[in-house]
Amino acid sequence: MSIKIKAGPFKKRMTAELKNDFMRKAVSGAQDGLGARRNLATEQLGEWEKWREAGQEIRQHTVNNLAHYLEQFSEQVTKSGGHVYFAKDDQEATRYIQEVVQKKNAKKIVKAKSMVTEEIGLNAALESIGCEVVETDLGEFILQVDDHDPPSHIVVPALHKKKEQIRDVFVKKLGYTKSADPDELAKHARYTLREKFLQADVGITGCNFGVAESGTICLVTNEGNARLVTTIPKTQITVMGMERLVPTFEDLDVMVSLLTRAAVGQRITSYVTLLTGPKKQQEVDGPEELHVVIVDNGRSKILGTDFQEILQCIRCGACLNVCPVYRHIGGHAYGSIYPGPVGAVLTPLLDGYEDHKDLPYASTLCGACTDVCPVKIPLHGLLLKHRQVIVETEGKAPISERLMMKAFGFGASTNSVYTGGSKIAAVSLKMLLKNKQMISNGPGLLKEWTNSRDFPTPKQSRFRDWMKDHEEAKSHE
Amino acid sequence: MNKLERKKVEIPISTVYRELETHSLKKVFIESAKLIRAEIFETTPADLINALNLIVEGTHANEILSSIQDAPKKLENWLQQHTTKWDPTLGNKNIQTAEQAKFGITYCDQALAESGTVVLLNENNKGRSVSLLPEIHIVLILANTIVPRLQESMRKLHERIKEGKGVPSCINYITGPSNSADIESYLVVGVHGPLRTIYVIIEEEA
Repeated sequence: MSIKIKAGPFKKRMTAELKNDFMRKAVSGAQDGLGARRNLATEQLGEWEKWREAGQEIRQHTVNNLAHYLEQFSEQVTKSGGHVYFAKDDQEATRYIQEVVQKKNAKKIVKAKSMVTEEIGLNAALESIGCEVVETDLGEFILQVDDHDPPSHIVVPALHKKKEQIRDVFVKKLGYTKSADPDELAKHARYTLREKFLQADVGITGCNFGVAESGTICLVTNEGNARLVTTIPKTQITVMGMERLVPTFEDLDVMVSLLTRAAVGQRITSYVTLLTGPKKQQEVDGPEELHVVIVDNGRSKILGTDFQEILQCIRCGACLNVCPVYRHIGGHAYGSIYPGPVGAVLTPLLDGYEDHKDLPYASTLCGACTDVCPVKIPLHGLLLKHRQVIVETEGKAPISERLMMKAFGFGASTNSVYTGGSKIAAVSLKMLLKNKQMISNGPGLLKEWTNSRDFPTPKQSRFRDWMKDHEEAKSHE
Repeated sequence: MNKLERKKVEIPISTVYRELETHSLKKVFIESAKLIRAEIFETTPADLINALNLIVEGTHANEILSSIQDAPKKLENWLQQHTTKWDPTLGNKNIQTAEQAKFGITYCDQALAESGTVVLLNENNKGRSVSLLPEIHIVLILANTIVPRLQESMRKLHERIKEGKGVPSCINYITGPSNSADIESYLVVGVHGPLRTIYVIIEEEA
C-alpha cells in the first residue's frame, strides 16, 4: 500500500461509499461517541484553549527549527546506541529497512500501527523479499487478514467493518469457530498474535513523538502491541515522519496531554512508552539493535510554503471526527491513507495535485476541523488555499466547483465573511430548492450528497420571520 | 551544536491542582484509577503480605513472576517463597516464564493522580515483560510516590537530561489494563497486554 488506496475518480469513489449504509452509520456513531468523549476530557483538563495555544507554540517552534532539532535528535539516538537513517523518499526508506532485515537474516516481522509505514508501502517491500509481516494492532490486523483492506480512519482503521464481517474473515482465514462478539474476536486475535510476537525477529513501529533532547521515541497506544513489538524481537526499526519531534520532555507532557484527549477523549492512553536507545547490556528484554528511519517523502518541500502549518499535525484524527463530509463519505472515498480534512490538505502536498485535485473540494469549509485541532492548524484555510492554487495553475475550476466556491465555500471560510456570505449563499442556492427547506438536487459535490439525502439550506430569512410564517402556517391547518 | 534561543512555553494549569486543594493525592489517584478499570487494594506496610496473599491465593510460585529490587525484609522473604524472581542471569528464560505467568508483580517509581497512571522506569533489570506478558499485572504503589500529573514526571526526566544523567532505555506509563475499541467502537478490555491490572497502594497508618 502507498499513500493511494483506491483508484478511479473521486466522484465515483464517493458515490460508491455513499451507498454503504453500514459504513455511514458506523462513521456517524464513532464521530458522535469520540466527539462526546473528547469534549468531556478537554473540559475536565480545564483551560483547553490555553493548552491548544501551548501545543501550537511548541509545534510551530519545532517546525520552524526542524533542522536544528533533527540534528539534536539524531545525535542523541546515536549517543544512546541506536542507528539513524535519513530517507529522502519512500524508496530510500524501504531499501534501507530491507537491508537491515536481510543483514539480520530475518523472516518474521511484527508491526505496531504506523501511518508512515503505510505511506511508504513498507509491508509490500518486505513481503517482496520473502518476509512475513504481521500487523498487530487489532484494527490493522483485521484489515490485513481481510486481504489488505485499506484503513478508513487514522486512529480507528477498521471503523468501516461490521463485527459479522470480521467473524466471517476470521472463520475463512484463521480457522475461527466462535461468535461475532468483539470480546471473543479480540481474544482470538490475542492468542494468534501472541505466537507471532514470540517468534518475531524484527519489530517495526511508528513514532508519535521523538524527543530531541534525549533521542527518545514516544509511543502512545491502548492495546499494548507496541510494547510487545519493542520488548521481544532482537531488532527494532522505528519509522518516523521527519516533522514528528518535540524539543524536550516538558514539551512532550503538553503534546501527550493534547493527543490522547483530542484523539480518543482519554486523560492518557493505557500505555505511553518512552524508548531511548536499544536495551542496555545487562538488561534481559528489549531490542539489541535499534534503527530509527526518519522519512522526508515530500515533507521538506512543504517547509517555508503557505502550507507549512500542516506539519504541526500530530495525527490525532480529531478533524475526521467532526467533519460533515467525512461523516457521509467515510475514509475510503478520499483515496488516500490520510482521509478527512488533514488528508485533504496533506495528500496533494505529499503526492501531488494530479491524482488528488478533488480532495480540497471535499469540504464544506465549515471550519469545524480548525476549531477542534489541538495544535490549531487552520485546516479549512489551507483547503481554501489549495483551491486557489488549483484555480491559479489550471486557470479555472470546473463549473460546479466555481459555484461551490461562491455559494458555500467562500461564505463559510471565516466568521466575518460568513455573516455576509450566507446571504449570497441563500441567493445562489435558491434555484435548487425543492420546497425552500431542503436542497434536493445540488450542484457538483453537493449533488453526491443530495442524491442520498436532502441538504439543509442556508438560512434564507431571519428567525423572527420564519417564526411568523410558521405560526401562520399552523393556524391554517 | 548551537543552543537555540527559545521563548518559554507557559504550561496551562490542569484542574487536578484545584481538586488537590481539598483532596489528598491518594484520594484523587484512586478516583482516577477506578475510571480506567484498575482494581484497587489499599494497605499498610504492616499488612502488605496479607493483601498479597489474598490477591494471589492458591496460585503456584511458578505462575507468579516478580521483579522488585531492594524490597524490605518481610516482603523479600514473601517474594522468595511465593514467586519466581526475574533473574538476569537466566536471560531469555525470563521471557518464557513471564509468558506463562498468571501474575506479574512490579513496583512503580511514580504514580500520577490526574490519570491513575503508574510510571515504571525500566532500569537496573526491572524487566519490560513483567508488566506486559502475564495475564494479571500487580503494581505496588507507595502512596508518597504519587504526584499530581504527567507534568511532574516529565519535568523530572527533563532535569535528568539537563544534569547529564540520561534516562532509562524504557519508561512505561501504564494506565489500567490493555484495551481496544477497534471493533464497532465496542470497548474490549484485555487485548495484547494484561487482562487485569491490580494497584496495591501502600501507606503508613496515620
